[in-house]
Formats: sequence, C-alpha cells, structure tokens
Amino acid sequence: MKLSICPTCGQLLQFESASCRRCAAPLGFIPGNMELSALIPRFGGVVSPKTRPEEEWHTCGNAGKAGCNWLVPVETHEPYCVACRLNRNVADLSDPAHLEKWRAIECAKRRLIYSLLRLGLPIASQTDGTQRGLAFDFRASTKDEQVFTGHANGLITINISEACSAERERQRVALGEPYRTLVGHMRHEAGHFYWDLLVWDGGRIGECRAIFGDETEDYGEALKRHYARGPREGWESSYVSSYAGAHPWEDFAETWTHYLHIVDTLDTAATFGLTVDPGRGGARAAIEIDPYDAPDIDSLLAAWLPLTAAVNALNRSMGQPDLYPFDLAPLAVAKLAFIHDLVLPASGERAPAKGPARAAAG
Amino acid sequence: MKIFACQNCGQLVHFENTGCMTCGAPLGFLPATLTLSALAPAKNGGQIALGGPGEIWLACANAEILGCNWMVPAGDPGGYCPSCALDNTIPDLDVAGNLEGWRAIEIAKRRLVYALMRLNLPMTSAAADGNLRFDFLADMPGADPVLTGHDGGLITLNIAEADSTERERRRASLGEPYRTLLGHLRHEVGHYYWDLLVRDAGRIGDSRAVFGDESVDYGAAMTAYYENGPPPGWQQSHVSAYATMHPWEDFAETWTHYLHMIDTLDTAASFGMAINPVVVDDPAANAHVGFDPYHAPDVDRLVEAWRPLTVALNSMNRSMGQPDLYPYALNPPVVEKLRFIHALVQGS
Repeated sequence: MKLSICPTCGQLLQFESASCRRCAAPLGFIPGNMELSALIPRFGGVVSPKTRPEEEWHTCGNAGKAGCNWLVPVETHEPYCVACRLNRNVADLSDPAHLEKWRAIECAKRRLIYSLLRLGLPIASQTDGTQRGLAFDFRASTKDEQVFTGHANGLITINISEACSAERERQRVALGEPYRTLVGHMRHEAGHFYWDLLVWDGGRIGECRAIFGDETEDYGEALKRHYARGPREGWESSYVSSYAGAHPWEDFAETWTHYLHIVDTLDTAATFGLTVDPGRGGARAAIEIDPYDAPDIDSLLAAWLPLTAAVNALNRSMGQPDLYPFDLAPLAVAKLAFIHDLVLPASGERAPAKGPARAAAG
Repeated sequence: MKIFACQNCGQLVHFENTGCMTCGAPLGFLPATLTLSALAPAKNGGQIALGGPGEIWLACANAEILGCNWMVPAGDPGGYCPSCALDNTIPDLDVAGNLEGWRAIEIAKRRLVYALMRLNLPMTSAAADGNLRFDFLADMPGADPVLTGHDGGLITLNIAEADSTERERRRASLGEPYRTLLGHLRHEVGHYYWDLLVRDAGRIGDSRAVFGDESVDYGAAMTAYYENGPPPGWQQSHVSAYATMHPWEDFAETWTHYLHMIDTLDTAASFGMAINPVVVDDPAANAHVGFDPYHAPDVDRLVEAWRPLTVALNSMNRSMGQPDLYPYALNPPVVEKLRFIHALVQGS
C-alpha cells in the first residue's frame, strides 16, 4: 500500500481517511493513479484533486453510509466506485449493527480491490452483466438460513458476523487458526475467483495440478474429512496453513492470500523506507524492488522473512499478536512462485475467459 | 526487548523460546544478566550457560507446568525465578482452561518483570505489605466478580482476561482501542510505582502539578466516569479515555505507555530498524533508534523515534488486516506527563 501526503499540510494520510487528520482537507482515493488526494469541492458532489484541478470526479454513492472514500470519474455516469459497484446483496442496513459491520467489511474490500488494481488483474463486475466477473454478497444468517463465507463462479459471499471482532476471535480460537481477519477472508475468496480466471480459463490446469495436486478430488468429501479428522499430519512442510491441506483449491486460495499479504505489506514497508539490520547472524532487509512488480518470489521473500521476524517481535513488545504468524516451508515457497508467475506473467498477456469452471468453494 | 543469538548456532532466538528453532539447543533466560542463553547439561541436573563464565543454573520450579524458561542459581534447588516468585495466588489448575490462562498471563508477566529489571526498579518496599506480588483469580459461581486492580503492592488479575475472545469482547464493549494482558500488567504495576516512587518518595506535590489532585474521591470519580464517559476533547490532554477517570489512573495509563514505548523501541533498536519514508521530505518522519531506549537521555528522543515508527508499523499491520500496533496519538500535554514518568524511573 502506497502512502500519500496531504498537499495542503504535509501530513501522512491513511488509506481509509475521508479527511486529513491535521488540516481537515477532504480526501478521496482516485482509482486511476491509485492515490489518495486532497480535494477541491465543486458543485453537486463533484470534486477535483488539488494537484490536478482540471479533472472532475464525484464521490461514491456509498460515501455517506459506508464511509467509502473512493472517487468515480464523472464521465462514466456510474453512481458507485469500482469497489462498491461489485456489490450484489448487502445485509439489511436499517439494523445499526449491520451497518457498522458492513463499513468494516467495505474497508477490507477496498484493500483487496486496491491490490487487484495494482496487479492489473481483471475486476469486471457481474452487476454490469459480465458473466466472468466478480460480485459480493454480505449477508447475515437468519433462523432459517445459515450464510457460509465462500466463493462460487465469481460471487464472493461473506457472513457479516465475521466483522464482529469478538466473534471472529472466537472462531479463530475454536478452529485453532493463528490468524483470522476480514482482509484475509477477502484475499482468500478472491483467490478462488482468480483460479477460475487465470488457471482454468488460462489453460494452466496441468501446471497447477502438478504443484497443488488434483483438484478433481471431491471437494465436499475433502472438506468433511478436514473438519472431522483435523489437519493432515505434517502439513507444515508443504502448506502455508492447515486449511490449505483440505483440498487443492483451498491450497491455491491460501497460497494466493499469502502472496497478497506479502506483496501489500512489503509495499507499505517500502513506502516507509523501512529497513532492518539486526547484526549477529540476523538477516538484513531493505526493499529495493517494487513488491507489486517483483522480478521473482525470492526477491520478495529475501525481504519478507527478516522483516516479519522483526515486526512480530515489535508487536509482542506491545502485547499484540504476531503480524505474520506463519512459517514458509520450501514447498510452500514453490507454490508462491507459481502464483507469482500467474499474477505477473512474463509476457504480460493473459488468456481470454472461457466460461464457468466448477462448483462453489468455501 | 533485546533479541538474542543462540551461542550454539548463531541464529536469532526470542525471549519466549525454550529451544533454538534452528539447532534445537535448549535455551534458558538468565535473570542475573537479562540474557537468553543456550544451555548444556551439567552435573546433578544443572545446566551450564554457553557463552557464560561457567556457572551452573537450574530450571525454575514452574518450568514443567508453565513452560517458564527463566533459570535460578544452582544454590536454589526447587526455587522460583524472579518472575514466578512474585505469585501470591494462582487459579485452581483442576478447572479446565485455567492452566492455559495462567500460562498466557505468565508469558506477559515475564515481559513486565524483564522491563522492571532493565530499569532497576525495586520490587520490595519497607512499607507494610509493600512487596510486589500477584493474585491470578477466576470468577466463582455465587461470588462477586474478580476485579482487576492494585492494592498495596498486590496486583489482582481476573484470568478471564487471558481468554482472547473474552478480552476482545470486553475491549469492543468498552470502546477501547487496545486491550492486552501485557497492557493490564504494565498498568497495574504503575499504581505500585506511584506508591513507591511518588507517595513514599515525597513527590506527591510534583505529581499533582502534572496529573492533578489525586485526593479527590476515587469511588465517586469512577462512578462519574462510567456514567458520563470521558470529557470532550480528552485526547488533547490524556493518553487514553480511561486516564481521565482519576489522577491515579492518568499516572498508571501514562506509565503503561512509557513501558510500551521503551520496550518496543528497544526491540526496534535490537533489529536495527530504520524508517525513512520516500514521499516525505521531513526529518521528523524518519526514525532510527541510536540510543538505549531503557536509559534514554530524555523523553523527547523517545517520542521523536516512537511517532514515525508507530505510524509505519500501524500501516504494516493494516496491510495484513491486523489492528494497529499502537492505536494512540501523543499530544504535547501527554508528552509532558511522560517526561515526569521518565524522570521518576530514571531517578533524576
């Protein structure tokens, strides 16, 4: 995540902010150049970036209730920003508890979309009629229906109870997971969508199978086995997480998630010019690449491993959980290398969409 | 917190480790030198610290049950380490969940005691009941709930706080930005050091000038706080909303932040961490901890490094979807309160 500074007062700006904390200038995120800008208000919701006053944008239709700070080009006549446009069903917002959860979910989703845009991945919306597009349902369970977080043919469903931090922590502990966040859910479910797009449609199913295993294995049975018997023994030596061992699709989505974790967190570190040099046998880290356009997975990990060792230790000094409570075994690194090649193909070309690939995944 | 190197293989090892993750050598923390050391077996069940002058050490009496990795001198068989020795009451370990909760609390407590030892702070006092000690208690059916707090050197912690789900539930329902076991321990010990370093040292007048008049009724202040919440604009003068409740709480909260700051900066220094944002042309946005944060020359040096460091680390935690490392802002009046704590702790 790149940083912006307020052109009015020089304050460092946070991605989520709708106004500058120091000088109160209104802010908006411009999906074109991926920058948070101070704004000049014009008329009827139209704004111009302070640094490029000739441009005209308008605020997203979700600016008020969802606190969305992304902008929409005036000429598209779209009410919603590129992230909010992907929404299909949103839980009943007349319930104030739902509204608060939805805002937290949208924050996490904007971080996901930011990464997808930075990587140049296609993010067409199903709501525009694109069959091979993305869509989101954020729903609450009812007495009659339990909502499962998951993905099916581009539709990502999130149970909004995941936005309640105490409930999320309860689930994390109950499932024995070291990490559970909204951003993590978003990155994971998007991983299933990009398997459809980049592996299935991209004609790379053979290569993928060689690395992640045979995904034609019955998915429902595999998950049942995972929850009944627990993680497969020795999963640490070949998977990024125990859930990744449940089925090759989950392995792909989990590894994809970690790729986005690594790339975006390193990008933040790079923007802050963060370096570590512990001496005494400890590895140095300085990020001299663009993590969103890295030459290879090794260049990312050369910075990631020493950096996360340091930040985990700093989090512990504050009594907080580790930033990255995972170890990456060599086999997991080979899987990350596959994701890297998929996301950043050397030729810069991607195969066109083919059509529906498979059933739902959680 | 310093990072340590395994004397057997040279790789980095961490304060909590009981064995080296690279070579498997057993590790123990030596309270005398505040270092983590690889160990080799010696006579009579003792251990020799590699890289040390050759004294024999024994595991803390809580090593087996708690996983405590602190060592005791060979002349003290069956003894407790300086952290475990402070326990007055531990919960009933036959009750499911209490052992796990107690373990989590002791991990946090060892970090607290490490900091107190690095600062050379006393843990005993000539005053009646003035020794630092801990009660870790569980709520019992039919009894009043256990209240976390401090009284005359005795720190009580409800072990429900060790359950991360319950802690998160309380944090959210109280509208707090931060709630951790380590934060609780740092806060409660702040009350103890107010007794020792302010009251018993004749510095009540100085403290009052900075934190306000602590002779106002504590019970009434607490009732008013829970009824009315913090006064508007509290962020300008207090480090947290809870600090507005009573001058004693303001002191304990500011004390907590002092310990947060020096220990986290010490970790950053140990990793040789530096911040130099590419988009900002302002030296105030840079950080490099080129001094010992546990014995900083003044509080300004600490704050100058702390602000840019925490902005960067908050952003990195957000990139992982995690909560901010340090969800607070230090305004100038708060820095003046930290200055008072700094002078008190550094004995000047």
